Amino acid sequence: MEFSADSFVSKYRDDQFYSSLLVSFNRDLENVLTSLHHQMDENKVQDAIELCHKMAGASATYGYPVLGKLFERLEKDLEKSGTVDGHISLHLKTLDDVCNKITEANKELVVD
Amino acid sequence: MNSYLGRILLVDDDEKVRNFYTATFTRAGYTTVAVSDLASMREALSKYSFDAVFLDLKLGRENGIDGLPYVLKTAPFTKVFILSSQNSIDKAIECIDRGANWYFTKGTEPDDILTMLASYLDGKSEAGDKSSVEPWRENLVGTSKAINETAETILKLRDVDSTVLILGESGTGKEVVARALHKASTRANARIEAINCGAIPENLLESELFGHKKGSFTDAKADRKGIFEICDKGTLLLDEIGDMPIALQTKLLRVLQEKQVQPVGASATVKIETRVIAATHRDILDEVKSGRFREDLYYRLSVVIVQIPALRHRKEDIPLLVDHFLSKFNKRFKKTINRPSQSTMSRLMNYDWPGNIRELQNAIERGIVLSGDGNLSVDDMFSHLKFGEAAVPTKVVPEEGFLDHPFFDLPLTDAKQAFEKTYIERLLKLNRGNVAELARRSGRYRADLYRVIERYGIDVDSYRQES
Repeated sequence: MEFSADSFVSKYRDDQFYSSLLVSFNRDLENVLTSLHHQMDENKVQDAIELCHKMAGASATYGYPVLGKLFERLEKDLEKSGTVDGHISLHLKTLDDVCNKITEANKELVVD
Repeated sequence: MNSYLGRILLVDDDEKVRNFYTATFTRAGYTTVAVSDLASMREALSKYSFDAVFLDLKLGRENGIDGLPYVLKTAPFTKVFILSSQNSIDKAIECIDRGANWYFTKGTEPDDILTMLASYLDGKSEAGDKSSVEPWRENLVGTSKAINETAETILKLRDVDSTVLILGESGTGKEVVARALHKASTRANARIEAINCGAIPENLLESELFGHKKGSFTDAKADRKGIFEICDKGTLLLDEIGDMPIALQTKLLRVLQEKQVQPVGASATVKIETRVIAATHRDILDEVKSGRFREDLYYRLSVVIVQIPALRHRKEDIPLLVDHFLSKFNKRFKKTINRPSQSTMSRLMNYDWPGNIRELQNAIERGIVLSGDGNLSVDDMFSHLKFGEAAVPTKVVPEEGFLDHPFFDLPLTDAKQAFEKTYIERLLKLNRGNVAELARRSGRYRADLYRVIERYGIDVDSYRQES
């Protein structure tokens, strides 16, 4: 799946007011994915659905609509399948890639 | 930061989202309280009045929309906005149908949210609410001598800043009168805030009222304005003033005399021009006599006293109040329930309404919600009285021997307290320790009852165990 470069930077990136919040959000992405992988490994589907729902809302709020849509789609797929199947794993891989690119694209984001 | 625009309650289970919108609203000039679940939302609403509530739909495993009726009921002046990640037209329509003012999806531009919020708080989006009544009188329903006298008093006070003490039983509409006083006054364009002095722990109340400096106590992470300063040039309603701890009464007296506040931990004072309206359901003179309320503060607060009559003393207003609530709830629930028949209205007029207008409002709401045939049913409206025993009779006639009860040998203050304790214990027994039911039946706020229960050392759990 291909995404434009704009997908990896927040639309609030140039607003200094939100800098510290964005840094904190980006920094936490890795922890979120670790938790999500852990929940998937243990087939804790309900916990994974709740985390995806939270992240769908938070990502959209922080100006990452594409990331928000990916979490939302994973949430819906998990609700539908009720288990972690190959399709879900593939979906999670896409999320990993996008989150890595977000981290990479925002390396220079600092708090004034 | 911009000047103060209002107070917002944000309900969202995700810390990231709470942080983002708290920052957004604070930057725009709103004081924001952020909580993560419905229980905390209810607690916050019991302590403060909010201009707007932003409610998430999915709060962990709670459904945010379940909190909507509570907000609409306890905070009728508050605008409610849904803030959800669900991008669904059906969901938006459902929420607005159930009483929300607007539905935002997460990801909406903060500026768009702020513009919509400002337009609602300015009243520019309240289509269809116009009437021939002057705006300040809109919620002061009735034509009885008592309510007209109250309205006349409000008009006399519109150009002066005198402190006002509003007295009246629970549910008589003390906050409605306070807001009418503000709306009719020259301060109408400034802030009005209400704080329930009985619902906030003593150690927090001082900071809430007067503000604090960073580091003045463990949780004081930053300087914070108190509600007196927030309402500068506006109006502050000190609700349940009779429950204010005596130590704070001394500080309040000094603020009223000197017209300046000293935030906790600050060495300097801040000048304020806040008009104070106090309200209580207590017999405040009795509180003064018993030493629980400072006499000098009483005289300072009671420059003008507005006594709101109990509904049983202005029964001629019941038909107008019924129409008012019928129209309000028909609109909210998208129903077209008919006006009550003459016989139903007669039943409503014959009942004494110990919980006053609040009880009547709840009865009409219940009647509308439960109606199956387009009419209000007496059984539905009075169903709150049927729990474990027959409904309370309208007129209480003392039984033979009643006057021989030991209560009557006690001084009045002691007798009242002894009665109050017995009354609460009896209802707790009947309700099996259900404090919500106790509040409904006694017509008192739950927070208020918890304080009384604590004062008398009543063990609520023991009533629960009995069941």
